[in-house]
Amino acid sequence: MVKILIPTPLRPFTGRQAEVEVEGTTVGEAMTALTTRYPELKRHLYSNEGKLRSFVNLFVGDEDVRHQQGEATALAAGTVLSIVPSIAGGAPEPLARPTSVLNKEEIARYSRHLIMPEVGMDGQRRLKNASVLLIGTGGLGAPLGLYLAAAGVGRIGLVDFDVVDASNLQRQVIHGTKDIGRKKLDSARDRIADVNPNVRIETHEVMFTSENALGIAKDYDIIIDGTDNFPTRYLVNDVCVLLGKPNVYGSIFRFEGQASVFWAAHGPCYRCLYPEPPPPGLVPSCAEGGVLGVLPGVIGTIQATEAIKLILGQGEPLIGRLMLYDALSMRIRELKLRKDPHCPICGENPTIRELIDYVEFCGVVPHHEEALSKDLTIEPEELRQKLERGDRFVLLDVRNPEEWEICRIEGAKLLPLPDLPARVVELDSADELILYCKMGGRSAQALEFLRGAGFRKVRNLSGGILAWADEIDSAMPVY
Amino acid sequence: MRVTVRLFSVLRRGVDADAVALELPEGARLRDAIESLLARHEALRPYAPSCMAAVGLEYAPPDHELRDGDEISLIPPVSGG
Repeated sequence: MVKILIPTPLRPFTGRQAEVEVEGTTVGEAMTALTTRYPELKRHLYSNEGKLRSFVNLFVGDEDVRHQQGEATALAAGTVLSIVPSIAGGAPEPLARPTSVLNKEEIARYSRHLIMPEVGMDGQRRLKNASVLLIGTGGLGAPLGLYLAAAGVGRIGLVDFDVVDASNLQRQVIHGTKDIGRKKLDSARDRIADVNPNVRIETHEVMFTSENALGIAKDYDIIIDGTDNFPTRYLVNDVCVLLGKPNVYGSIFRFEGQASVFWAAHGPCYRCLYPEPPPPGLVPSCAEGGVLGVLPGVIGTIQATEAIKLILGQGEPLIGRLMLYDALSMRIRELKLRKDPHCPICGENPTIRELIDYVEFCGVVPHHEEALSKDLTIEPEELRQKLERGDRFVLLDVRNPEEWEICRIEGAKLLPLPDLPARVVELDSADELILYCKMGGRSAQALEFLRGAGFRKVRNLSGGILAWADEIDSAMPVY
Repeated sequence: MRVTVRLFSVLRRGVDADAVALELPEGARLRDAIESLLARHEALRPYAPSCMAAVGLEYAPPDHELRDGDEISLIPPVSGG
């Protein structure tokens, strides 16, 4: 007798058997005996021509039979033959055990799951027994929270410290108009409780930092990265590598999204993909660059799908693959990733063994404009007086044309920051210049550039046009 | 030989296109293609060190040897969520 190990995705065809014992003296004979007993298996393992499909690997012990005599490889009695579908990083075992019990209400609620063999009672119990930590309840966190709750994930942790703003509602569908001004955690908890009162919600109203991250994350099976900044993304990655947990990653920009599952035990981590953060200010956030409202819906539901698959141990996880979604061209690309043997945290000789200072690592200087000395900034009130007196100076708006269309300060000239190097010749360094953008960050970059180009009489409007709207012109629409 | 570099997210704004064709000498490596791209589009240079590069459908290291017709993808990190 020979023992054949059946991988999870094929168990529906062996009556759920993880191991099957058959007679056979070669790999070919054993496989014929297996597919005779379970005919459904045959079309999954063999092509119509009767050839073993290319993604199916057979191992005797820990040796691939391709490197031996193929199907003619001899099997001694008691040998273990493994069927291994070639999934990047291998198909991990289910993350949660099916120990929870479902009551009558839950069976009715999850009936569309329960009748599928890939979920079934066993899988739904795993979901109920599973725990997921969502870092961020914004664009990605909104569909994640809703769908994971609806799917019956038993315990969901939420990390956020923000309040709901009107500008969130275009994409953060977990929050409603009535929630403007409320804490996002309160709003999300109420909505999740309405979607599925069986879910236990744990709120962590803190900024996720090196000091608290390990303590918060250690009690969850899966960590989902729905943050909106680079320091936290590197922090989430390192926490997951250090704790050995999967990091279900998603990220969005304008019309494009990325998704992957980083799990150092089975494949690459975020640092294998992006070892070096971009210089601060170079890659715009959603607040600066904009984002299509439905985009986080697409990427967040892909993350939710991957989390559910990991809990169930079903299908092919997005490990070792980066999915790139482009809403404008409606194209999806997939790139194979590689685990970097020199990765500083998950490589062969890791140099990062504990959490670091991620703000410093990403080179972020908080409140960029505050770093400018006093004589390089101007307060909104002083600007108002200068305009009222009719002083001679140039007021330069360095935002993008789309933002200029929404609101502008009367008398300003538009010169978007990206065009500044090419159009600097239009400016006269003898003039007094006052720069502004939305919040003061981009105009600070413009100021640095202009000073480098020899401009001396240049100042930055503190707090940007938002501060102007707040302090001087309350009728101005803000965005 | 001729290769194409596909640009993603913020890089597209730097050149106002989603792909750039490059003519390279035989035996060129991935890093040569990227340098050739940066020489033509200086605006992309600050992004290059933090980008991930792939040839065809697979991640490729800088010394990856290119072939005629290769499609390179240059993908900057994205932080939005």
